[in-house]
Amino acid sequence: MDSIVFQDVWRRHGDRWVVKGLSFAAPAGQVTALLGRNGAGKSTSIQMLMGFLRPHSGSIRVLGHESSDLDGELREAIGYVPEDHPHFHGMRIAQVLELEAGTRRRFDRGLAEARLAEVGLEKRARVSNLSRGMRAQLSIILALAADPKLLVLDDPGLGLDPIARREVLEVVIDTLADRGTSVLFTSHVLSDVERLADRVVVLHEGRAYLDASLDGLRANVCHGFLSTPELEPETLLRRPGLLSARRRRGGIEVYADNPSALGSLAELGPLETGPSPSLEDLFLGLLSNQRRSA
Amino acid sequence: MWLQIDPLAPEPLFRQICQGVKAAVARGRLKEGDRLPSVRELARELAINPNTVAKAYGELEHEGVIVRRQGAGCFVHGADPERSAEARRLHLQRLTERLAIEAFHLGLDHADLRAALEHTLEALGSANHVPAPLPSTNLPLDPHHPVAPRDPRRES
Repeated sequence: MDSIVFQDVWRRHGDRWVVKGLSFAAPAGQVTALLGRNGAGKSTSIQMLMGFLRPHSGSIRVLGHESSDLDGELREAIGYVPEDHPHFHGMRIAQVLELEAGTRRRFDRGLAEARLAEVGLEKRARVSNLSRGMRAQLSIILALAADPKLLVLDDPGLGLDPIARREVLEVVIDTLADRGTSVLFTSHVLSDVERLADRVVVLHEGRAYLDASLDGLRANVCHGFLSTPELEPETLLRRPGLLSARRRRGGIEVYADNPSALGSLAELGPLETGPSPSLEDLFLGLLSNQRRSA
Repeated sequence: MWLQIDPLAPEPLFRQICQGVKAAVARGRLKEGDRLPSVRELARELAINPNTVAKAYGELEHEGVIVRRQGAGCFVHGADPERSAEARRLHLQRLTERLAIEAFHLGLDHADLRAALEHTLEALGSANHVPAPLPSTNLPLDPHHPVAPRDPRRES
């Protein structure tokens, strides 16, 4: 069962297409990371997923229903943590709890209070006096207090110091361990992605450039260096299994999605194969120097 | 913490955990019957996805390194007497082949390889209870079950 399915989704802002035929699925009970450079279409995809924006074409199904007509009950089954953690700044945490308990049927106030105490957030504290890390924790705890089936986190580590990021990570890890919640998150912190994700979907130019399990990526994706100054990198990309090829000091650096695709390049010239790339190497290798297509 | 992982290393995290647990058992840091941390505890300790820890425990259970007791958790099993001598011999052969191939490509000769293996065994042996010297035999090397003399009846 998949908790989220995007199928050939298109969306433009004004004249500019931002999401251009995006398809991917996030399996239930797993953690899927949505990665990509700024402007790759991550935020728009999340807005559509939550039903705040409609796709111009294609379909998005969330927990088995079209995202554009999620009813109240389904909406409550999705815990959403936006990147800016918007709460009423003048309120105390106790008042925020009051508001949430009054507006969300599934909201478990006792659970929220217990979690807040665990992380040391005082009910008397005013939201405006909380650090960014504390606000992030508050948002996540509130989202989780309705026992969601799906948790959507938009860049939960944004602007947090390493300790605050780790604390946020721990809240998510505990939830995963206790409830088996499905999670979709975006992040630019690739070491967090390595820690947390079962699957990664890399967005580029509004499409899924790569959609694979993290273990599969690590086991299969490989990179090497082909010393053939006369070859054009673009001609290599037509070969099956090649993910990226770019010119570098007297040759071409290549990434392939399996070792035999990489090995087959040896027929074109001297090939050096490197150690398996980390997610960071891979991300940089795939997405830096990518030309913007029109 | 007896288990260290590196989220940026190319080796999948679940495999790093498997290796870490196996190394801790081989070094005597974990002993037969010791209880491993629960999935939740270890996931929190290492700050990683509990699914990854569960996958590693599944793999270790499959390999017979640990056993899962319903409701009680996972325990170090030590060596698996149930596993047939043949299966163990085959597994070891695959590992030694890989070692020999890697050593060749590192430009090491047989003497280097033997010396390195002796060195590793000594290092493990001083921390644990590996019987030394190890018997020169092609039967499985198993710290918990010293190799028994061959049974002549089964050879005929």
